[in-house]
Amino acid sequence: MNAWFALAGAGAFRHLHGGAAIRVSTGILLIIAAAALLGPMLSPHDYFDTDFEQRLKPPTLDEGRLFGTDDLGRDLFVRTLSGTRITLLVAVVASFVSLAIGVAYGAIAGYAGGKIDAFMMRIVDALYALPFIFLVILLMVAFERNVLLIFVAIGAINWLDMARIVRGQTLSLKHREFVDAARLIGVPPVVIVFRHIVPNLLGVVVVYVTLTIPQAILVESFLSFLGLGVQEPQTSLGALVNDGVSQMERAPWMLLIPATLLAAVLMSFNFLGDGLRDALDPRQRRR
Amino acid sequence: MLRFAFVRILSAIPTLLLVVVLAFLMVHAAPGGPFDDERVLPPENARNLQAAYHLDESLPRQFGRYLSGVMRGDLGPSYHYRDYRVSELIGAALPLSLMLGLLAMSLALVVGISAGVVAALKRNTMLDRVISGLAMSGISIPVFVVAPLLVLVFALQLRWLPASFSGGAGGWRFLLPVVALSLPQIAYVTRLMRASMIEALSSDFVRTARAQGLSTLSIVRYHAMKPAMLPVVSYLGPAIAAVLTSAVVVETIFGIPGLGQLFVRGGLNRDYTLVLGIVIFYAALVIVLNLLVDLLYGFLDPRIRHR
Amino acid sequence: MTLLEVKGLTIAYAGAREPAVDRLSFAVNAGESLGLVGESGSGKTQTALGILGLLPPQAKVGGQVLFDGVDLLGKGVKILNRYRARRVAMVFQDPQQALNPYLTIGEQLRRVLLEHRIVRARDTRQRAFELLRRVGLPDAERQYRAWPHQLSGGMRQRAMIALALSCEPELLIADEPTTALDVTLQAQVLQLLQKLRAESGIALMLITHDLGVVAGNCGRMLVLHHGRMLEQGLTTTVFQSPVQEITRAMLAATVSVDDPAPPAPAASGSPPVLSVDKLEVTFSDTRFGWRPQTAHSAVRGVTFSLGAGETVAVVGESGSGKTTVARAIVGLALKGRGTVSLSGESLAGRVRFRPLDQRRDLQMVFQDPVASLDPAMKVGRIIAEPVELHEPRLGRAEYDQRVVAVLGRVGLDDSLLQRFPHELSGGQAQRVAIARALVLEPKVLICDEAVVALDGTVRRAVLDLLQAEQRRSGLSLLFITHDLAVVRQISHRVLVMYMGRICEHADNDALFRRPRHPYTRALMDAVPVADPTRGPRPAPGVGEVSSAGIPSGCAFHPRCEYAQPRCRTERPELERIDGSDVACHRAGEIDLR
Repeated sequence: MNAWFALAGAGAFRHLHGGAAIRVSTGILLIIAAAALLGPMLSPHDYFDTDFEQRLKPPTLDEGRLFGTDDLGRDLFVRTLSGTRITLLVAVVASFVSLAIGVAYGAIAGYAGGKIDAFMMRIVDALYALPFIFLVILLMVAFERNVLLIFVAIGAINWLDMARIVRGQTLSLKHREFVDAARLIGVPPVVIVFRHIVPNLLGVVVVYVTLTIPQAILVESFLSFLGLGVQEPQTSLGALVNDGVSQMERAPWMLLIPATLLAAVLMSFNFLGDGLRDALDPRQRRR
Repeated sequence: MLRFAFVRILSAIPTLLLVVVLAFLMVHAAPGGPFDDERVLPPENARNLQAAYHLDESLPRQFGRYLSGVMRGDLGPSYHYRDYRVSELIGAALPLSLMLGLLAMSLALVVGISAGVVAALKRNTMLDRVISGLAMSGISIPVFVVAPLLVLVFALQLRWLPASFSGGAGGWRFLLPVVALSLPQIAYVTRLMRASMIEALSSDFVRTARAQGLSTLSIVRYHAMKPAMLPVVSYLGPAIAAVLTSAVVVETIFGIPGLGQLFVRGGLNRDYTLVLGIVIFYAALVIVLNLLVDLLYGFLDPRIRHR
Repeated sequence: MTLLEVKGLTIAYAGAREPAVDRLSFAVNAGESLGLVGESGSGKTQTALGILGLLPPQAKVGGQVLFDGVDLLGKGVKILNRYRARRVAMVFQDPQQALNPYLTIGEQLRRVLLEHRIVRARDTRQRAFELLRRVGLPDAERQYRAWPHQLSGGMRQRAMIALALSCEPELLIADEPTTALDVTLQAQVLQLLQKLRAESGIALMLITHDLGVVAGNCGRMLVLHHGRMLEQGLTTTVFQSPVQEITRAMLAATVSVDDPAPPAPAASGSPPVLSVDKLEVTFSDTRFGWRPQTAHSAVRGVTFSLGAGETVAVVGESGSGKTTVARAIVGLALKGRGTVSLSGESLAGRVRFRPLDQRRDLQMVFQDPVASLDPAMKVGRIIAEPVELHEPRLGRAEYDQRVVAVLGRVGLDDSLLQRFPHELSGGQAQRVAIARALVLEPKVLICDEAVVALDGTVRRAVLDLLQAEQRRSGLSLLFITHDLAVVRQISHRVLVMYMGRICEHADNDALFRRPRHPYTRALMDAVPVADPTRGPRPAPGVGEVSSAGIPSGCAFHPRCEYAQPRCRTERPELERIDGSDVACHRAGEIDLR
């Protein structure tokens, strides 16, 4: 969030008239994130404690089992919240991996231009046609699974879009007359990139990151759903949904609670991204 | 246009080769051989097994053997289903998956494009808000949540439709899987179509058409539809990849003996050649379909065609 | 007979302080030609869109628009469509945007003909061919099959007019129909509109910012300012005795080619500040990469010099290479040959190889004032940046003082220092860009179409400002423009460029008194004169540049009425005739006065 306030000062955000979509979705995400961080501490249970006396208990206020228990008697309130924590962590870290690779790659290709640019973008085109998700599954099947690998794998999928967008922006900014003017004055190229190009690029990048996060969440949940993601007894929202599917006849809450939470997180990010994009749309900027 | 097509086709070959190399190396870098799980075999048998699968050869030789097989359409023997070639297994599972995917994509395009056009024409009305809201939910609820929920409601609670594919007969058993598979795609296409139609309708050339007294129907049909379709066409590539991915989930949940289920089983059984083969098959499919989409795009946009 | 009567038309947008159009009333009579004049933001385009019911839904519209006695305002699409195209048609400003890039010209024509059942389905082709021929597209069958991107700018606008005429309307509204075109094409399109009016008695409502266009083409005119009507009347009356102060200012701001040239600077005998020798720039089409954003044509050997305190104008149509010359001089062109020297020192070809003090002496002002300022920086930072870079040892207070001083010189208030570029008007933004260039006290300032985006009065003020700066500091100006009126007002010497070469190089007075090159003559004939008493003049008899590449011999020969066989094969070199340099085989024998 610090980054957010730093950006808010940059020129790109001057026009941000806080739409309701932005405020509401930011609020929901903050509440969910706070609950995921603090919730597990408030509960007397741990996410890995099994209690065979307490299997498949529906949600109740007794003993703080707000979300009930699963088929191993583990407390679902704690499991759901710590699963949310993992899901959010994976998504945010993966998005920043893709942000770092994508912005660097796109900005270099765009600013260098010419043959370097053409070559670099051909590589992106080729990778774009790869069905990455299947390679990731292959990776997960072949190797010991760990959370780090998931970060890397998801980041590796998402950076392509980021690179394309950043390159396009850099290219169009590079040919703008204010960059020519800076060159004539004698501003060195590195300073041009950081003083004149990057601040004008941030808006688009931030919007795109908010739209990348839900994609990363989807991939992580998908892998966990296939049993290829986070390992037991740790859990994530995708893994919890998978558990819920197997018990949905007997214990529908095991499916409905994590599914609702997952949808809420995804929808909030999508609304936030849409809202930011509309707010920064140059066409809306014009009077 | 011919040159454009030729360059595109030519650039697809290295991509495909890259997939084969990456996937092959990944499998061979995996810790543990394919037969580690077997009950302890006499060394004699183990050696025979290794030799039968050419695992005793050097990696480049194994790759050369594999690549020449791939070019002939042979993806090697399955480690798990010992009597079958991977190509045979894929061939057996493909028709069902293909049917599922085609039905889902058609449904997504028909419903998504119509809903998007209606929302764009009725922009900022109640109808538009309902369509946009549903579309937003559609892209936010993953398929592995949608599918079980559909089963829970329509099969387990209402008992209208069979819960699993094998539990039913006739066309009806396709309904839930196809709907589950297409819902997120309907949502994406709707959002794209709405946005691009609004963009097209606010373009200067549509204003010209309005000034010429063309009716709304004519404007949409003759002037706005083609440009508005372009983003949807370029989304077809990613959509195909997304449907293939989702099919893995849907086939697992509904117990459909298609390619996705085969893939998951292969993963669980550590059947490396099978998984490798399916990945390469998927990659080829995605690359070829992307190629077709690119050509279609070039056909629709005269400025690309004349380059 | 009154065809269209607008009564109290008011168009307002939520959030705007004042309505875009405020209680506007006027009438158009059958067969007449009415000019609607105003600077940008005066509401003239809004008025036109309002008449046809084409305003965006968020616009709030009041008043009456009576066409043939029927009020069209607020009517549904069904009723409006009985009037659109069939009785009132419209031609838009930019034909590149206004034609559908995904449909052939023929298909777009056919759709309109079919929609209004003008002819039977099987006759639509023939009818479309007739229309295309009528607007002067002779190869009608080919244009019918062409996509808009395959046509040149002038042909596109003709196709647009054919579309507007397809249902034989009684009134044609033309919204800045020639603003996106070169002068010679502008003259031809205006002539076409006059011809159509004479042939079919169609009434014309011509919307423009250019008083010269009105003077030559409209019998009556009305002047709009901030959405209100300032005055209306016969064009001759308004020009001779404008009632309103603002109209008078607008008329005074029109720069005419008949104005006196500025006095030449005292010949000091000192060597030129800037000299350019055999400059060549080529563009290679990169196969994979993107094309450069603006397609400049190549420069094929340009030599000239610029003295201290002197202004040289480079003039030519789009594609003449004039902008490329400017970019090559400052070191922004991609591939260049030849030498550029500043105060006798030869400069590196690319700006990044030039030392700081050389860069300081050579500054540039760009065409688009808004795009030339970093949107994420405040005005104060933008102007301070060059000073901080070139004089890093100065203190904060000194920087501030310099910025405020230069801001005063360009006529801006220091209250603007905390503003972002998007909060400035076009004129203010261009003054800031000039201030950024002047703060370094350069020897040479290159202005690339620096006033083209500005309205008449603002344009005049910016030109005055540059001249004042030249008198103050002996600045040399290289002024790139397509506008001969601007050339007349500001320059001492003129270079006329055509397809990458200089075709005439003369002193301001000599050029305008006696042009020597047929191309110069054509350019001058095409300039609309803000004098209604002169009446419409025939457009220069030149065709359009073909896209087929550079012709052999004299590049101008396909458009030249004086061309001889020799002109097709042999390229003329610049030759001195009575103090002017002219590249024309027949310059000595023909009289173009």
